[in-house]
Amino acid sequence: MSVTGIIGSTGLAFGQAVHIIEQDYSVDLHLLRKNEVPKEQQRLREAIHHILQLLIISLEHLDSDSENYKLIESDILLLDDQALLNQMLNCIEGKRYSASLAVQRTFETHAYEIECIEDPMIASRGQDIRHLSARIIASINGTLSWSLEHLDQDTIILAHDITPAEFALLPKKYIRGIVLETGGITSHTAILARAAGIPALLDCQYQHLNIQNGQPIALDAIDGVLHHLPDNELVKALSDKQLKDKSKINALLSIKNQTTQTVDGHPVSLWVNVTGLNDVIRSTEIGSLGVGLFRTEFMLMHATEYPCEQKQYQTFCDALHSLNGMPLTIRTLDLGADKPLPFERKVQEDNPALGIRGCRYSLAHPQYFKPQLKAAMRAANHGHVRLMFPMINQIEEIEEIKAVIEECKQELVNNDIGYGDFEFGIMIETPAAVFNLTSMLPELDFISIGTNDLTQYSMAADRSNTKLARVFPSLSPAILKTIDLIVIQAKQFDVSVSLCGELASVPKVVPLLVGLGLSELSVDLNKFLEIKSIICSGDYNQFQELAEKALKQTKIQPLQQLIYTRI
Amino acid sequence: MYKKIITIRAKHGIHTRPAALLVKTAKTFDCDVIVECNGKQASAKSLFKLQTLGLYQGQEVKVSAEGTHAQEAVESVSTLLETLS
Repeated sequence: MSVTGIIGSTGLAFGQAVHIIEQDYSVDLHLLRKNEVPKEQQRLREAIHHILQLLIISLEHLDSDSENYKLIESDILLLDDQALLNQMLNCIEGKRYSASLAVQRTFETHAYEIECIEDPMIASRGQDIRHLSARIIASINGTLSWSLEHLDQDTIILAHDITPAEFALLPKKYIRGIVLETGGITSHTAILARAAGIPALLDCQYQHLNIQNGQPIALDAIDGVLHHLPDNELVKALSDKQLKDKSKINALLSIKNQTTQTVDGHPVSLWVNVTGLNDVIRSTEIGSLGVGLFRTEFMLMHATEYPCEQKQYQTFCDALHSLNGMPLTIRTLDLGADKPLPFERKVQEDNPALGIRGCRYSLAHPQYFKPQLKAAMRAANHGHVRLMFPMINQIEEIEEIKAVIEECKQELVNNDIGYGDFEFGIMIETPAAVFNLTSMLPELDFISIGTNDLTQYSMAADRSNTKLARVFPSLSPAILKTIDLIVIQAKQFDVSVSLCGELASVPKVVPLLVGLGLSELSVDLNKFLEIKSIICSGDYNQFQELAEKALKQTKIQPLQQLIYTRI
Repeated sequence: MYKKIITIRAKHGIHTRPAALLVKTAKTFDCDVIVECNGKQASAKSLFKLQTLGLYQGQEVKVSAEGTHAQEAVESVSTLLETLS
């Protein structure tokens, strides 16, 4: 049994499962009898003592100059404060409050007093006081200790959430991995786990696996999967994957920080195609300078309902934060009768590849289109967003989309929600789009060639039919001439043009594409470094010569021979 | 009794972390150090009490102490109050 999650920190881990128990923050509202007072006061003292011990231990693992250290130190000073303790003890004795109620009332009053102070920086500290109060109550309820101090073997932690203070407490010697039900890639725990080199899987809904403490689990934070009770075969496969991953990456990582340009200095913007956040993170780890294609429909393929605007916004923001200023090309939903949403009723179309799909589908379903547009437009405040629309034939569609964007802007403004600047572009994947380029280009910031569909529609050959794919490949004189025409026209209009189809992910074809004048390529994540090494070791003049020769070919076979047999 | 009046300069006020530093300093002295501000007073040795004084930029604060090393204690605490940022 296995379950997926978001990769917070990449790597592979094997070990026993240990749950960090959910803390009990409930407050006991019963009033005490007089003879119960001393026992309850003792309970409070012990609970505070227990947290103090944990906090003091956690300080030992931290740099004394770190922010975390200073925050924990303040917590210790507060918990050690006699005035505070006396007030709570008096509550227990005078008001017959339970220890947890005494803590809650005392801290709540204190937090409120702090929040009333006119200075916003000081007032914001009220929340810290409430967090501390919750921890004392958990300690009183006996749910604070994790019994991690007795660990003696490789362990993978399973928890709802872990705070930075709790992270500092983990006995790193035996912690091989972390699995959280909550969290995103930019959460503190993810950052700390990456820094500590501990593989971590976040937003992982593992409850239904019914994992017991001590049972073996395997954490595959390369592909984002948690395996329960892995058999020997799986363990071996994962270990092999780990080795392969490491040796392959090590061999290519030497060029990770190198500029992507030919030996004679011709630069190429090499980006990656992604299907989700995990890919975005991996892309930054291998030195990619941006995302040339984010296939947003993959966010929906396993969804039980359409993700709300806020959820999509969060995903885009997470991606942009990971990219840290580098471009994120968001392609709006590329759905159709052949790629239906799991929660939508299937529509029967005789010819789904030629039916309501891509932007046609989006324009016909504003209930899906508008939340996605708004989420992307809002996220544009957090980074470099390029919005890209699939399956466009003509200027009318662009006008229709721009009208919807205007509506979205108006609705956002009416609700006092801000949005950022973004680039506007389309996929070129039909012959009509190629012939209509000169009328559409003035409206566009960029275009991206989708060779898979462009081949299918140019050749009138179903791309899922393997027999046809062999006879009508993308690497053919017709498609090559089409790409050449697109590049020339885009350059005339000074519109940036990229290629994100699978053709760009074939390493041997890349010199040809660069030679044709394509200076932006978006490629498969796993091919990125290999393709980069080909660009970096080649000569632009030779690439251009190759392209010239290739364009002169009139038959598929000699063209393929020219490209594939080149050393 | 030794006392001194100073003005808070810290842009973000004496919030939790600087206040913690203040407490640590006050605790190095045997005598108690009283901080008064906004009509409220607190022991400089109690973070709990100090937090509610509202020690933000521009506030006038009276620092006083009595007993062993009172003067030294007041000087240390008030210097910190004035220079913390």
